[in-house]
Amino acid sequence: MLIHNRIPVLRAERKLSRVQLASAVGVNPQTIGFLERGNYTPSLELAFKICRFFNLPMEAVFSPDPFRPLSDQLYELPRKEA
Amino acid sequence: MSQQSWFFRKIGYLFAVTSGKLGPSEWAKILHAQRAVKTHRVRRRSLPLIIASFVAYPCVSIFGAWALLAHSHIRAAIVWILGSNLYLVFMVWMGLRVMRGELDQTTLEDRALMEYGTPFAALEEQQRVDLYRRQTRGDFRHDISSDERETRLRLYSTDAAYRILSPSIAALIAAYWAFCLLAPFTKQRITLLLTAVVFTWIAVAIIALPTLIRSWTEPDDPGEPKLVPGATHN
Repeated sequence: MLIHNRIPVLRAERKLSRVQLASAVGVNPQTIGFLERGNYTPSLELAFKICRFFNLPMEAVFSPDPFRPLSDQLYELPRKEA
Repeated sequence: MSQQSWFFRKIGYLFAVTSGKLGPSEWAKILHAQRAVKTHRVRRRSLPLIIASFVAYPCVSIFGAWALLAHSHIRAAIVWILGSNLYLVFMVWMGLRVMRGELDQTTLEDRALMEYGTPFAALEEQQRVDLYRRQTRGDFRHDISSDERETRLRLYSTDAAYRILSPSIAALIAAYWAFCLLAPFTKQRITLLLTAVVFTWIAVAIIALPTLIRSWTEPDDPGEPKLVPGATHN
């Protein structure tokens, strides 16, 4: 089963390289590349490490369903409130 | 580096990496080769060569021994069979070890970023040499820490290898039995049949190994926890 993730977006937001993220979570940089391309499903341990590193809940970083663009979700909130 | 000889520019630099005399073009060649070796295309193309060596190397021992036996050099043939076989098996084993090391190792460029925080090109010559030396040592000694993806890939490869190996060994043993049973009915046939029995049980042991390991390592089923009346959470 493919687990979708938001790692590329989160990395771009924080201006982090693959190497920096890989060092922080203790894997090789190639593994981050495979994760981002959806070629590898992380173990629960690695998924928790990544979430803890970004300081986000699991469902914000990983999902079994494809993610909607963050901008859609962000601008939907004010529209709903209005 | 323009004063360097043609040999140095083409191949010789590979033997002079640790001397600290390499120029940017030689380092670029090394990095390019490292990137190329890690690509799927190059790895897949090198596989037929490796498999061909598994066929060619025994031929070296066998034909060499035949040539010596044809001239009645029996002792030399025995030494040749032992020596060539040991040497070639050792070479292939080392080659596979280096290959495994290269698969698990990160490139020099990534290591430079991870360890020094700068691109490889920005490192001082001594730092480059140090990184290269440690990487080459890692290839041979195989003191490389694999991450979970690499460990999972290795487990998958071992599983796939076993799935290929089990029926192949069974087929080989069946063919060997057929050969033994078709041999002329002499004392030699009995010897052949006895070797077939031994090979069969070695094959059975190899095929049964994963199940045996699993039965050894599988823990007990803990079952549902039972409520004890009157018990507290302390």
